[in-house]
Amino acid sequence: MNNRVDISTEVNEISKTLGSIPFINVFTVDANYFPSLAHVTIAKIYEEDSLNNFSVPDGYFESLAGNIITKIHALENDVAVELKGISSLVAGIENKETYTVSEGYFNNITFLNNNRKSAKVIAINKTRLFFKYAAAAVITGLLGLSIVNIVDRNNPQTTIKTTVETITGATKPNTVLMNGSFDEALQNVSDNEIEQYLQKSGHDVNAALVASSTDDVEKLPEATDYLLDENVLENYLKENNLKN
Amino acid sequence: MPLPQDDIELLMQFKDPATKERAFTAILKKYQEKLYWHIRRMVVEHEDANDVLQNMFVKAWKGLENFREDSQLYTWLYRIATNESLTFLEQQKKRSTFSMSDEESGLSNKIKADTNFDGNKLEWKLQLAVQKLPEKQKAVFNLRYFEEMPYAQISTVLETSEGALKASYHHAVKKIEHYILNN
Repeated sequence: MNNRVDISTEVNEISKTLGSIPFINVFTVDANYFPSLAHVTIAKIYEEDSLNNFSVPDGYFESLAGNIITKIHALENDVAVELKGISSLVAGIENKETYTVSEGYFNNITFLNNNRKSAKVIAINKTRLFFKYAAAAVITGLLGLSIVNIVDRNNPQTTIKTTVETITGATKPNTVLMNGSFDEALQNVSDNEIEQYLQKSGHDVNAALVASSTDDVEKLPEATDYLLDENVLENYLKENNLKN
Repeated sequence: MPLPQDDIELLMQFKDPATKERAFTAILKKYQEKLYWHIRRMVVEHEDANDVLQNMFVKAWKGLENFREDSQLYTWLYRIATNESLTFLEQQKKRSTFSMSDEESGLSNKIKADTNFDGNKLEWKLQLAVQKLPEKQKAVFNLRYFEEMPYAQISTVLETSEGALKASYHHAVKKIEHYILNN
């Protein structure tokens, strides 16, 4: 009661308006609420307790993080788990080696002799890659005498004669021309002689080899292939056994 | 200030597993009404007050084992009750589709929805005015005006200095006066 008087006096000093308001509790509650409240509250306490009343082994939470990380790593490296995720049928097949080898195979195994003769390699002038195909076509015309456009219109016979003499070393070029025996004459010319001629005259030897190797122009690599891959000519020569 | 003898005995009994439940029931019955009304004036609706009160006692059950007895038991209980009420109001504010400024009108509407509400009566206007106060200031006013709690104990409950509490209470009374005079 003293407290109430003190509070009322204090409020009156601050606000007479508030001090004049009767001290009445405007809120109400059911008459049975408080008598049963203790019982209901204890029941709620035990309900909450039972939800949290499970025990765990000592040190469980301390080691939990480490155990989980270990399991994650194990799963990541587990091929069997991975396979099962893709196909349970394949995963069900027993992983057993089916192939066999004779006894002592791995003990007696010997390796192949790696001493090979180094092949003669004629360096390809890479700066001329683009023109290889064109050079091959020109050389084909020269060797096979199938293109006559290089003929000097003023002295057609002289040009052909000079070319044939140079290539074949024939002393009677006219005879060759007249007889149409160029190919036959060419058979008497060695590869070295042809190679030396081409190198001397600045022709691309590889291109010439390509041209000489085929009658079918369609088998030759495409012009664009040379642009995409600098090893096209070399690969073609190897494939057609034109390079040692 | 030493604990009342009955509170000391109840705390000792609480620490004994054989008498723990009986002691807590006794504490419950001793303080339940005062704590209920304090919570009710904060949250207005009975259902909300009932929820907050039970949550508050569950926390008290868990924390009473570690009660240091450096304050009064009922002051400690009031602190839990006030914090639970403020937390509840904060959660209501977040869940509400109303803006913060309308939160007060939400509680005001709950007061007006009371079957006994009479807007002409000053005591109802007082309640409407109290709901306009900021939450912590409302707690200061309620603890002082309705619970008749000394400033020293309010200071323990709200962990605020007595000087700040007196200033806050003074401003609260002035705001309520202004509301009543203008409504």
